[in-house]
Amino acid sequence: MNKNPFQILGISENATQEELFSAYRAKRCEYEDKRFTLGEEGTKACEMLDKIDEAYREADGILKNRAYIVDYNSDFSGIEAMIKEGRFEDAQDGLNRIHIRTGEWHYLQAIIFYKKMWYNEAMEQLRLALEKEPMNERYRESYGKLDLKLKSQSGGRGFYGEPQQGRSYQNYNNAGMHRPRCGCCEICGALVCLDCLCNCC
Amino acid sequence: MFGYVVIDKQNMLIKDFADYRAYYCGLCKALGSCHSQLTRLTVNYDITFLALVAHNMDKREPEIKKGRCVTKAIGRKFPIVQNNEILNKIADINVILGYYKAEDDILDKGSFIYKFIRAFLFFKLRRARKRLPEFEKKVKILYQDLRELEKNKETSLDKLSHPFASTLMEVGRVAVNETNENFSELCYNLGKWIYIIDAYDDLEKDYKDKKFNPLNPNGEELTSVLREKIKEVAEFNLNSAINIIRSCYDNMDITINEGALSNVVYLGLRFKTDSVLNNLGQSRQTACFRQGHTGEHNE
Repeated sequence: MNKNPFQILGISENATQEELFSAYRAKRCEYEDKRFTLGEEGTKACEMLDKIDEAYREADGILKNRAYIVDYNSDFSGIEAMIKEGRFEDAQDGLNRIHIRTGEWHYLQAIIFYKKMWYNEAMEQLRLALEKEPMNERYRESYGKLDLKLKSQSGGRGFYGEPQQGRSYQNYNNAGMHRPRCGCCEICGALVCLDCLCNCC
Repeated sequence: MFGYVVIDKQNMLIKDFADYRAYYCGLCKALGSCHSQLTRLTVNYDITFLALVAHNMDKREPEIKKGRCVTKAIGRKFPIVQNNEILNKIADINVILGYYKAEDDILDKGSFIYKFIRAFLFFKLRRARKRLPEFEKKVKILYQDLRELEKNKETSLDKLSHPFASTLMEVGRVAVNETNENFSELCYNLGKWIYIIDAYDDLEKDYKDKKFNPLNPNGEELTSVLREKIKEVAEFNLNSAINIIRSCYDNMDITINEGALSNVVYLGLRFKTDSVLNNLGQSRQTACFRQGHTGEHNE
């Protein structure tokens, strides 16, 4: 279509579905009677009716898409509110009802998984969110934070404030600490000691 | 239960080991007095850790008296934690968990020994059930959920470890008087750690017996490529669980027997993870011998 479908139907772009349908019916009425007349008038009327039908289909599609995006945006903020209130089951139900998986959908799903302590799934969802919206700073920051939490040894939630210092064994390096015990060396060592002490070996 | 939440005995101060043994032997005596003498055999390292943590959460100083081990009638006396409500509760928890684990093993392996253990524990379960009815119901439901997931060959490791991790979260909730979110998170991740490390340990055996294993849900042949991949997944999950357990532990207020607990959290978990990850398919006894442990039982 070269012309704007809304222009052809004579309505504004912010019309509702009902207004669109009314305009479509009105426009059709104008040309319906004339389509059976002979000659050029009839041909033109048929052409106009085709254009009107096509314009209606296009405008309908545009309005429906707009409804999806508007609806889901408000749904997402509703789900975010539910997560903040701790109603994770309701939030999950809300997400399950939305079939279009945008970056925001994956991000909210990741938050729900994180709250449930399903960290593998949370990482996977954040990865998918970043795939859909690679430039989104919020997703990237959350991914980085979760990665840090899982891989580093710091990053606790500070429930009582600062983490306790001066715990035993906290700074032991596991890698070097396990000396394989050789039974023979111990026996020899014991014998050497006995020999020195009491000349019995 | 499983015996994975161990101490790193080689790197433990003697005073901390004495504390740890006091709880271990105290639990053995509590099981004997709460249930029967034979139930003492169900004592394990996991509930010892639970006892240490529970005393800290409830800020309960244990009463310590010198006593002897029942297996060594002639021997030196050493400090043992005396029976109290916390140890009694943990004894009941242990019996309930042991019973449902035996039932799960019967459905998995069906061998006579598990049937015998279940029959033996049944009467103890009835007694424990009267004192902890809600907990027993929850454990039963969670084990059923786990069986359902395994039957449907679920592939998500988070979903599969959720029932067992939730079981341990319930254990934590029941064992202490006042829990908080931090403690629940620690218990949940500890449960996840135990489940995954047990799955890794049983990888070979489950493949041979054609049983479900969460790390190999489709029962594929264990080629070296698959083994590497499974080891990577297991390592990531185990290490992240340990890191979260450590950060939760760091945020706890620990005043009672801090040394023994810190040894388990900072060294023991790491030690057990390394020894299991590097000894795929080996029996536990061989693994311990190669690490330089003495022949003390690990069950």
